[in-house]
Amino acid sequence: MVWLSNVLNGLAFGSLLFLVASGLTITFGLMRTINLAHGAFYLVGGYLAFDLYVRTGSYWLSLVVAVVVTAVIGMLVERLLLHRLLNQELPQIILTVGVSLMIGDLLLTQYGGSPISPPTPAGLEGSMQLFGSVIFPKFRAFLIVLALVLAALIMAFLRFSSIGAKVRSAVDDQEIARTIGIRVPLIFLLVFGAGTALAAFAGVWGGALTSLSPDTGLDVLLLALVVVVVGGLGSVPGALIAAFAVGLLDQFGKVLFPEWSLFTIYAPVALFLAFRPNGLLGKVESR
Amino acid sequence: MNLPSPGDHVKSRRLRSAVVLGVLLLVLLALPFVLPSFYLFVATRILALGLFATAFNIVFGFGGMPSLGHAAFFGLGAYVVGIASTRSDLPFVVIVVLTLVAGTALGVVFGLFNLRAKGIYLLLLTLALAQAAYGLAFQQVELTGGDNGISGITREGVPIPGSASAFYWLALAMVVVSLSLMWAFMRSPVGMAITGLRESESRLAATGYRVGSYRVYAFAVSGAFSAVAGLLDAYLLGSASPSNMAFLLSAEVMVFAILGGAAFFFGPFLGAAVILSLELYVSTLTSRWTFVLGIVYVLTALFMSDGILGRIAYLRRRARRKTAESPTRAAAGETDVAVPADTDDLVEERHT
Amino acid sequence: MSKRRATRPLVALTAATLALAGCGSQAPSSGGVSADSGSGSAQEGANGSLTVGLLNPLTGPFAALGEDVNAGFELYLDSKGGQLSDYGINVVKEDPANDPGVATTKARQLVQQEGAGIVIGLVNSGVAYAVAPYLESAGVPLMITVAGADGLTRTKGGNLFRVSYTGSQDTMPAGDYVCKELGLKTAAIVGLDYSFGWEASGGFARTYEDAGCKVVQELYAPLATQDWAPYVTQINRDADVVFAVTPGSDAVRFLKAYRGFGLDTPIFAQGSTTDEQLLPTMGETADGVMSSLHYSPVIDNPANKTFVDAWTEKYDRSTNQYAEDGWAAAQALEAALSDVKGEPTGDGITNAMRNVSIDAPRGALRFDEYGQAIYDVYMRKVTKQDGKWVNKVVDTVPAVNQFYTYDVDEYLQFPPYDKLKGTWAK
Repeated sequence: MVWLSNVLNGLAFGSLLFLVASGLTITFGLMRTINLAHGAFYLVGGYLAFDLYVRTGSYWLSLVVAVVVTAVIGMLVERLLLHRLLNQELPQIILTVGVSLMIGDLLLTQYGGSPISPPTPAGLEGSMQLFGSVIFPKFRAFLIVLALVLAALIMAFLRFSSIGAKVRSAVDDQEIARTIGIRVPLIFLLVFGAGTALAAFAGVWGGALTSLSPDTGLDVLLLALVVVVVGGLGSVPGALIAAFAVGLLDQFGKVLFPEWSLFTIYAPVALFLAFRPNGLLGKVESR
Repeated sequence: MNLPSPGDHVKSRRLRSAVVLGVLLLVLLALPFVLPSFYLFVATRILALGLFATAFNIVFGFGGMPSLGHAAFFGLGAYVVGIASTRSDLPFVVIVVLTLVAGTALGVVFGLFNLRAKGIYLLLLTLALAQAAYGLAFQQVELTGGDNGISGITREGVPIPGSASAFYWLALAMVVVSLSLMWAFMRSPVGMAITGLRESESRLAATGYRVGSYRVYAFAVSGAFSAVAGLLDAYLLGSASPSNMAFLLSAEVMVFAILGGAAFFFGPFLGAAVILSLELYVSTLTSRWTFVLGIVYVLTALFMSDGILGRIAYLRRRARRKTAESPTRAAAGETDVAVPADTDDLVEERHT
Repeated sequence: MSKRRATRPLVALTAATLALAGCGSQAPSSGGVSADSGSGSAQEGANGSLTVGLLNPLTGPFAALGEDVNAGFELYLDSKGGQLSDYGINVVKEDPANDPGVATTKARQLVQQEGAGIVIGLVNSGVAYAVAPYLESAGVPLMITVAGADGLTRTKGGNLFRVSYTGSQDTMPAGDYVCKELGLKTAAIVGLDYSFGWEASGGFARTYEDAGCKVVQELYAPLATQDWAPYVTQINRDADVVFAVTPGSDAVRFLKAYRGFGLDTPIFAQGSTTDEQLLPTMGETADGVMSSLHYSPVIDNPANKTFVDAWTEKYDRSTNQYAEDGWAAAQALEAALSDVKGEPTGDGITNAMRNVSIDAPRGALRFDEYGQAIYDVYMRKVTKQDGKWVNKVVDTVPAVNQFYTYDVDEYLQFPPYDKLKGTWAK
């Protein structure tokens, strides 16, 4: 039954990666904006939830307020800074790295460098038994469900609402988008807000699993980037598949080749991208 | 009207550039006589990282390929020195050659992996490669010393090993030679083709160039000189460690290039000097220096995305246009592109 | 783009900077870096003055450790009115930024620009290895307060001293203790996959096996492993005890996964795994974890009482080994300076340091001829006391040196621990 336990672990860690990657991939898919501050927003969400939970003791209030406040911060960054660099990849990268340095340092001054842990919702503590012998933490099992539900919701929303189409036209040709009545800045603001809200949401859940310190933003960001790129930038189902694949790869790499564990994630990913430069389900970019 | 002929113009510009470079070189040569030893150390470090930034820019600014994995080359150079100098008596020249070979080889690997990737995908592919290299450096302890790195690198085999000044001059000589070689390379047909990659890859392909091979050339040359930069840094610090391969160094070198001006040959070097000086200065003032660094990154992205040299070139163009308000010149139209900036001889400006 | 629009980001950044300044002044652990921070600037004592360079991380993954070492040092200095043995002490702090290049630059800056007569600090062993040769060549003593690599203190008569542990120093007594006193005969080792992990695990394994017990498994996970499940689920459940070397945030994740997957084998850990910086976050998951370390905030002696009282007056959290390392470093410097006659030269301080013998909060502390501290090691158990989790002291092994009970020459002949990792279980 060891293999079952390993598979479930891989899926659970993959689910965490999907939570982080989902916001990143929609921001890129819809806005062509690379947000390397995503890891920082993940931290902001987790830290705020931790702080609020210490003060209020209410899990759901902490979760909601943390997500909303982070989204507002994200929208401020978009409106004040990022919006001026539309379609300029490299300046966007530098800018978001700069923002994440600033956020990381603010968190360090405010909360110190020791790790903290955002709250776990009541009912998800402890473990359950599967098929008799396999013991599995409830929180991890719930993460898998959460990732699947979230993926379904995002895909349904993009499919059945008109925002996806609107944003695409806004990115492709702003002039035309304006003339047919699409308010481009507003749409970008909302999309970026949604992206950061997802980052914060992931921070609260992922942080509860892994704990947070001001420097963990980078660890998470790098893995999320891998997932997004392997999945194909902008593709939500791609990100889901890639997240599970990377989660399983990580799990089995660590079990089978512990000496090479840092190598086992990145080397296969590099090889994969060399042969499929646009990821699993990514569209070919026309430049 | 006695306007100078275009030929004269170019000649005088060349002359002026040569004079500027000559004076700069003299100043750099004289630094050990005026700088206290700490600042000489910092200056040597700037030389090493400036060389790194310039080498990086072959791929980045000229080839138009945003690599986020260049720390791998820099770290490789440092490790070659670390391993060769602590475990063998190889002469300095041989170590330099080994470094060049290793950097070139890794560059070829990077190039082959990146035959098809573009833009953000290339960025992340190079990142993944560099992370894999980092993982190797961290975990293959036998060779690299793992997290402790390799320390106690001495300059015994280095020509004139003695003083800090001697090493500074050696570093300066190596940097000047490396920059000259890169400069010549960028002027060669292969270098021109690499610049063509950035301008329009499909057009280049249509005219019969084998685009992929130029990507490999670009990474190979860039990798070789990045490794030499890592070699200088390792000799200077006396150590090599996984930090030399870390993601943050890859990001930082990109900021060097952008802040200085990625469209210019000397832009990245300038950017390295500015950022390193700033880091040193600010970190002495406050422990919140990463926050300030963040602000610098943000301001660079917002206001300096064509770099310091780009700004200067722009301001000069504007000034020149103002002085040339005569109708004949105005009729010649917007001459931005036709009459490039004065700095152009040092440069290779992007025509967009 | 209009002028008005262009100024907006500037306004935002200015606002952010102001917010930062506000936060900085509130945070208890934030340290100003400039020379006149902390305890009085440009002090001149009856015997003269000395500039102390504190080279501890203020940013990056080890910021919390570095801040506490600095805070401990300055707290002791403040309690002595800014003077140690009638030398006015000027403190200059620089941030090695967890990078050997930056750290080497900063060490030079401290010595060549700020005139530091001694450098105190360093957390990352790789950084310490990079910095030490320069300070040696410059003739400036170095007192290490956290960095644990065994190899740093293997040269006799050098200028390097270390008040904190070597990787294996605090775990060697643990191997004996777990085998003989606790009677747990088989152990599974779970360590972080870098030199500290191998040294701490190896120290335990050496004495544990020499005492007649058996290491049955060794698992090593990379530093900053986000998901510990792959390792936790591999642990051999037939082992009597799990020996863990997982300092920092890895400890939080390791214990959470350990409990989550329902393991109930007792855990014995290297003391940094249950550090007081981590206990509030670990909470229940750390309950009952035993560990060995040269300090615990609940040690009962006068020096520790002075330290804990001074600390809790200023900070609303527990003391810990890092704060104590800083405090003890200041005490050791004070003792050395009392032996220095006149101008405190590098050689003068180095020679005086060799004979230092103090009563630190951890207990008696002196240096061996390699510059490594000799101190008592405590066997501790995480217990709830007055609503707080503490490392309760259950036993003491007195005067432990870096070679434990082994003959020095014999010990130095052993292969290094990075070669031995993976061989203990065979």
